[in-house]
Amino acid sequence: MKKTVRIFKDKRAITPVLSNLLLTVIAVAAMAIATTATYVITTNMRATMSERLAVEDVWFNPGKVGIYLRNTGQVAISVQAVYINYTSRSFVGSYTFGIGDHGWLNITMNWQPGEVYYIKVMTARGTPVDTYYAT
Amino acid sequence: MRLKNGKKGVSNVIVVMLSLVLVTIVVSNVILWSYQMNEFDLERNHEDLKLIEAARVNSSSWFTVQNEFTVDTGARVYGTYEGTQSIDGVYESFTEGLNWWNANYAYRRRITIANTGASSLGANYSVAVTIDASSLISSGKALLNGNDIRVAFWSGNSWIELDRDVRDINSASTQVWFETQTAIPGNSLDSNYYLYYGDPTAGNPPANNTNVYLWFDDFNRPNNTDITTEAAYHVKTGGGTWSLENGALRNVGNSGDPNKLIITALGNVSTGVDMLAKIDVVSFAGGDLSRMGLSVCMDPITSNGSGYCGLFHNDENSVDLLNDLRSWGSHAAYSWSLNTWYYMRFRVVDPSSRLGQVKVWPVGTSEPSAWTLDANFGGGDARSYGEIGFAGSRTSDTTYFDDITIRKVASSEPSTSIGAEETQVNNKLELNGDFVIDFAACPLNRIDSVEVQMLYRSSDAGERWYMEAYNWTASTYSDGGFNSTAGDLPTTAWEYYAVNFTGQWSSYVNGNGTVKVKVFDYGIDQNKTTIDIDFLAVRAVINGTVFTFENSGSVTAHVVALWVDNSTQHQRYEMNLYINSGDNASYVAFDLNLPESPYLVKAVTERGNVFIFS
Repeated sequence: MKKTVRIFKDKRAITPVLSNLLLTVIAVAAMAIATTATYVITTNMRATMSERLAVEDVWFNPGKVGIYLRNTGQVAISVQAVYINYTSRSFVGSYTFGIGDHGWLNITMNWQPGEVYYIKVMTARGTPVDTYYAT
Repeated sequence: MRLKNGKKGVSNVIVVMLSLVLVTIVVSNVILWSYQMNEFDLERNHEDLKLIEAARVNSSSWFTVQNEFTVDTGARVYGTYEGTQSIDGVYESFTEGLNWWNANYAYRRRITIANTGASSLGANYSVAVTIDASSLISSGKALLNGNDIRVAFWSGNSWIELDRDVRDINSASTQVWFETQTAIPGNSLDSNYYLYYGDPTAGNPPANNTNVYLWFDDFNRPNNTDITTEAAYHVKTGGGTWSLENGALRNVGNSGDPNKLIITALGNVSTGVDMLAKIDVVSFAGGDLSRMGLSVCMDPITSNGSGYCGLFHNDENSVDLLNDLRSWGSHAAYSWSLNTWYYMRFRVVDPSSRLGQVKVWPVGTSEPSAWTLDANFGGGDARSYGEIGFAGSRTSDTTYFDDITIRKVASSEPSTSIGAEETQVNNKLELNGDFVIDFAACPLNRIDSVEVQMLYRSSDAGERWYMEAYNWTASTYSDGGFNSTAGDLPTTAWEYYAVNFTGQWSSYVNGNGTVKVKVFDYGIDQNKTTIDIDFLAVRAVINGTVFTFENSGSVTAHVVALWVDNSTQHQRYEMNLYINSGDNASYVAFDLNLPESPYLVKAVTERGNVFIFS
């Protein structure tokens, strides 16, 4: 009983304990932030690195251009934009391709026979796939 | 020193270290992933595919037989089925008519010997088949004297006529005995034996019973007061005399024990045996010393002659088993008479079991199915395999023996069965084979028809040949629906003969793609024709396009899609074709019609390369 009262009355060890506890919390928080940041950043990097998109076919029909895409990468892909001759074009059709998926993207535009068109497809992660096609 | 003793920063250091490890793992994972994707890109860059050919096809590849043809009538005389798988000058030959031992014989029945035991059945084992010879004789198919009842063995290369012993000719249960020519493995069959008959001009048959049984002696030779002067019987034991008299073996007993005549020609016989002899006792004193019969397993000290015996003994009302000089065995009642011929069958299969069987019945009557005595030889020590012979009386009894037959007997006797009667069909050939269409390469729903083609050469230009196929719906061979049912009249040179099943093809192809094709001639004629078949195969009639690729790259290419583009259509076809580096591979696209030129063909690989061919 006498010993217990003495511990409660003794204030000399509180500051070092608090300082050590605080230092530990700061260290854990800092490393958790660093690890999480690394994970988030590398996950995005990894997804970006895994993107592969192939243009199997381009079909110029009157008033429209069909682009047949195939996801040959290791992650699902969303097509963000299609540029033809550096002009953004709206498109219809599935714009999300799972791994191994393939399908048409149809773009409404007038084109000229005998011309060469530069077609560039951008994914949501920023991976470009570009190619030249002659009509 | 202070750092060493201070513990306050340790937990923080651990936290930092763990975090660094986590960060390192995450970063390493990314680096490895990056490496994998770089490798993927590298392999994609190394892909190089060329289209060698794109052409219309109207048939699949040929499907050939994978097993030997079945020759229903006629015989295979040269080559194997592999000779018919390609057009290369290697062929298989068939001839009209059955593989017949002797053309003078009109009929035959195949004999199958079944060794139902686990052990191999050695060669030279006596077996019998039972036939109704009286029916054959009454119907004029066989001679009354049985001279045209013959046994022939097909060795795989040649025919061998066997000695045979026909018992009870002109009865409904005539037995034909012969000896096996080769060993029969345990639990297997041998069907290379045939019973031939139907030759009205047949002379004396081979009927040397010493080639049918382990031992046979009818004693039909001049009288001899002492048979031991013959090499085959030169040892007797105990007392008494053994002589030849009027075509029979005569024993007059005397004191001695045991009194045996040993068939020395056989030596020690190391298998179970079945002895059958005629026996006629003409004088019988009665009492313990009166005994006569057959003996086996006699010890090899030939001067002794002790063994197992089956005997008439003591009185005229019994049959006894005896283990010489050791023990009397079991005893069975059987009333027999003096001056009467009886058959005595005595069998010992395994001497170590001390078991034996005796059967007695009057000559001229049917053999009873049951043993007169099937029991043991008593309490003495068991004997081993040994010499075989006759047991004589120990007193002045007189006994005649005749027509002794000894054959090997196994613990599990083989069974024989005889097949249906076959008639010698002259100059007719009929063979069939199974062909399997590979539905993986040629899907059932893409087949328009089926055709069969044969490249063959006939020795007879005057005989027409036909093909039929098994109609799975009608369960019979047919040529219904064929584009031609007129057959083919060949020259003697190599030529093709083909038929197409047209719209009826599905009736001739079963669910797993099997097509059964029969080739046969017009019918019986005067010429024994031989045909050589260089090629016989089946193929499906289809409508498609074949694409042949060459992989010039350094990695295996997996083609997953094919495009055929022209100004009016861009048609995509799913594919699944792996092509090894340096290899060529063909792919048949069904219902793909190449458009009018100009057109592009593009092959898309799994790695995302698009190879364009124009």
